[in-house]
Amino acid sequence: MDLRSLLQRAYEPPEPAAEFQTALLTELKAQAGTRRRARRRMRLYAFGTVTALAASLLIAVALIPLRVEPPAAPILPVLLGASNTGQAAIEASQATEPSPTTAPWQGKVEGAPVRVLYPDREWADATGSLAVDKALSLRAVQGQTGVEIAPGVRLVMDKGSNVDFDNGVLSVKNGLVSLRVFDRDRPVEMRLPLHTLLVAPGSWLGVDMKPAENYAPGGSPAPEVTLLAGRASVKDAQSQGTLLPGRVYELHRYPNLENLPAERLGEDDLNRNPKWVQPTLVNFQIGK
Amino acid sequence: MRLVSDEVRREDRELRSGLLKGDEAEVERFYDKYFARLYRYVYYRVGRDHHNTEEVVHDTFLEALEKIGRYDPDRGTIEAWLVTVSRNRIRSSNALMGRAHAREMSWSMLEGELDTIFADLDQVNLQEAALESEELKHVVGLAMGSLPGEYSKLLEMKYVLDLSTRDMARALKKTEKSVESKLTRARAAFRQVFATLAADAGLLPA
Repeated sequence: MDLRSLLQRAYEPPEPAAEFQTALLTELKAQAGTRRRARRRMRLYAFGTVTALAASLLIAVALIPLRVEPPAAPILPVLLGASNTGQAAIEASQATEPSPTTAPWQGKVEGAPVRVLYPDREWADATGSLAVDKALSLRAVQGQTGVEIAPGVRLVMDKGSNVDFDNGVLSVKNGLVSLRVFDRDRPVEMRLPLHTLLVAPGSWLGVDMKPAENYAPGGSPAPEVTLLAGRASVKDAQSQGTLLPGRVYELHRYPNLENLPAERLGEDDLNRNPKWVQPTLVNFQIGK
Repeated sequence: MRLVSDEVRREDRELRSGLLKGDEAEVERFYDKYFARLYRYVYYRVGRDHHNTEEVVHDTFLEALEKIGRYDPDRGTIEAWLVTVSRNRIRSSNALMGRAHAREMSWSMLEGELDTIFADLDQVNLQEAALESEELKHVVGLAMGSLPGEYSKLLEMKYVLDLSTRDMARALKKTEKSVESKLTRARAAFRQVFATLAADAGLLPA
């Protein structure tokens, strides 16, 4: 008895129903779509969270002519009588209004010293340090001219500075920094031009690392960050790790966020705005 | 444990990566590559019932897709992993149906290392009537369903569809020599599995 006889006479392969096959494949594709969307949302959230950190560093350092001060104690108008009411009001106003400055930003906050570099110029070091906390978020205070970046610490806009702060949007003219703040607990989303950020040794910087091919059609070099010294943590949707000294990292960002709705970026937004997937390179160097 | 070629391992890694990204084309490739094999494997283990088979296959594919991140290419092929995933589903289905496992081999014998039980089918004196028996059909189907998809496909093409080696090579986009070589291995694999199953079913001396 040979194999041919055996199989031809005793083998009856099952025949799956065509409807079942079609339905199963459809369901598998739907599940894949769900996974794809979930991954994208996770990347966007991580992206937004990390940009909040970068934004806080940029703003706190020499990028904008800002002055950082502890929250002012409530200023009570000095009532010297009806004739002095107007003067008291002016004094109160002046007391809460920061002094204008046109010098490169120098401020003092808690944390590690930061310095911002641009391809064509260098800002002076901050005289203090910036508190960097991965849970940090920025809160827009409607109607006020400052943003709280840490408990008891606010960034105050200086008169005449190259900064607008309007309705929860902090933007710097000339396209240096644009920052939109939604609410206290949500990450800040920001736009960064090509620049270099230095963070002092010992500071912590969360960097969102994603494969370049997720953003740049045709592929790009993988993200890199240079560590001159110091330590930083890296998180992305696929892996966590520590940035290594000596390597150069580039961070790819979405540009053009000024038309963002108040809620977090969603897949529909990306689909409507394909230019958002064009990468903007941000070089990060961790060092002194 | 079967040795896995580098090419197969690479293909499985790529497929895993695509499935993790939720790539629809990769999902379709995953389905096309393993559906028939899985269906056949399950069918003979759930009493040759299409309804039960559909349930198990459906649940297995969905579970595999959900947990594809746990698949480790260094530990075996996606095919083997998929079959492993299906086993729990099969057990549950059989338990639900109160089906005895009398006809089902110890999976460790089927799927693991088949040792020395080997019967040369040419020397087996199967009664003519036995060829028509449901028992034998079940064992043959079980054996075919237990083989790796590539092997059972080759045997079907050669012995059920009666294709020539040349036609098979053309259809599979392989050389005739490659097809012959694989066919030899497929035959040997079938003999081993069938002999084991048939002995267990009492159709052959153990």
